[in-house]
Amino acid sequence: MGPLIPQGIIAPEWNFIIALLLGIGFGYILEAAGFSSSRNLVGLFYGYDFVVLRVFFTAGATAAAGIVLFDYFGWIDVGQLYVQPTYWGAAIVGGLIMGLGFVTGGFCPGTGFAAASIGKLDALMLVFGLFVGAFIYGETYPLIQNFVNSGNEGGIKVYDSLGMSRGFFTFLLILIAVGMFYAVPLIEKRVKKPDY
Amino acid sequence: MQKGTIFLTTVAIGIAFLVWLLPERPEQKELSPQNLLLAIKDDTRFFSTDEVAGMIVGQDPSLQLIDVRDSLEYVKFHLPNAVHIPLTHILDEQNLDLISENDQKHVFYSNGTIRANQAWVLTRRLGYQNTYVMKGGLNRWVETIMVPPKPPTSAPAEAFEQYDFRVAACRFFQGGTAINPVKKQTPVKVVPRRKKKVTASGGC
Amino acid sequence: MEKKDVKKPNPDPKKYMNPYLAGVILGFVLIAAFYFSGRGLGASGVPKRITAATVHVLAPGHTEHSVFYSKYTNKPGGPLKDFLNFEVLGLIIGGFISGALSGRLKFTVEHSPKITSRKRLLFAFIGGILFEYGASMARGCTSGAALGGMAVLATGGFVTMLAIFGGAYMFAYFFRKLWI
Repeated sequence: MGPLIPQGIIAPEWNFIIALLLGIGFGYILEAAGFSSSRNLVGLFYGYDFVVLRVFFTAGATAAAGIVLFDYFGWIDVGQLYVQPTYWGAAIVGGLIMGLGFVTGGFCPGTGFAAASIGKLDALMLVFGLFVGAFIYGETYPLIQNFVNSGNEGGIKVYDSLGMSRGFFTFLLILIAVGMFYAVPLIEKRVKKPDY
Repeated sequence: MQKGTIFLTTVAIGIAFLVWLLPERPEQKELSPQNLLLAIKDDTRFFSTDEVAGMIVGQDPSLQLIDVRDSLEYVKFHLPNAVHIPLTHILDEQNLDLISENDQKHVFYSNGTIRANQAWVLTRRLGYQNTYVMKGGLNRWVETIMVPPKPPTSAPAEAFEQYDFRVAACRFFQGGTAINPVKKQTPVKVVPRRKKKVTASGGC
Repeated sequence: MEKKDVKKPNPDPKKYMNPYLAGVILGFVLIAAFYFSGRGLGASGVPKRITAATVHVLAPGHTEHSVFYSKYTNKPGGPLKDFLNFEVLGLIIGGFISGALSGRLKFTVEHSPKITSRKRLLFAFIGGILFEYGASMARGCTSGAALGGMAVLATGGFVTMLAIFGGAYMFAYFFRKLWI
């Protein structure tokens, strides 16, 4: 029963090899789906290309439904999966800063690495910015430490927060995703994709 | 609309209904025996009597002492502000509610270490994170805090500091609070204990 | 690398994978990550770890006194021997393989004709700084927090995702000249 490495079913040394293989799959998909072009990515925010929304929500819904099914068949112990702790303030403020970074930089970190790998110099510049950003964060951490660490709710689940059952929330998630997939072409039709 | 689109939509919605209608397994908050064994081997659950005394004297608001002995023993003597949850009642709902409060350190004690340890194993097994054990129990409490042994003259300075602290703490617990000999730099400092995480770590 | 592009192994280098197929495969990769390693994919953790390692080499005293850096440098194995670093190394390799197979390997600065490439590079740099800063606060970026969080239905993942996209829509108007 999974997860295999935290349970000691596979030796921890394999973790890095598996990480490398997973990364190759991840990078391949990001590049092949067109995420190596900032023009495709920011299309989401200007309404001319919703490829990000399609890939992102298909992947999220597939993984969420998959993990629920794995749990049902007893293949994975959901209690041992890493669930990021919820810090409301830090999640919202950090998310807004990331949103600002997205429309200025045109990539997120993962897509930036993928785009840099095929020679996009703007992505390389963004990756360089990531390191500088990490350094600035490290130096200013004492100033924001209290805010960032306040209001820890632990690894809470969204269906509990909304008072639903897990199955029903996953059902809604898939339905919302499919609904969006039908809606976005209507917007794309009205907005011209800039050609460059 | 294309046939392919209709087919894929049907599949997606079919999976959505399937996921909704599948019976849910009861969520396993409980620790597996393997992980429990790891937790038992890890001794960060222990507080020494000195540490507990320091927290009581310092009025640490996060300290929650829990006396797991039976009621006769509790009435006869118990530590200040300790709540009484006999081991036999540890799994009662209202008691588990108390233990589940995450911003407090729930420290079990008994006469020795055994019953407190049993309470700790039970609650850890159920997935409660913030439970601890006062090592040595009240027996060691009496030996170290109430009747502190004087260190031999050859002992290092820390031993004397500890002794001074114990004498002061002893006076504190016997009500003699007129003098305030508890120095600010008491050797007892509660460091937040880092627990080894058993689940995978992650984050971006 | 540029030579390959001249040869153009793929007749139409702009053709991308079907987004839904890509999404399903990415979903499987994500499930595999949870099934094997018990965690999701990520990216923004790598600059943090490598920066911590670099600062540790340049100013070891500084990292030991910093609450932030010591989290990474005091780990057994150090900040570099980590799942995420290997995963991002794979990400770069995977991106390169896909780019090579579809003839997209080329050194370029992609930018709207309305701005100079220097301006594009400058804003990419600023965007990188902001993204990493925000990701460090929110404990994950679009891959780690939003996508991984969605897979395990973590509240924090959904909150971060909504904040990222909400923030991007909020600020999109002011930066439209960069893109359209």
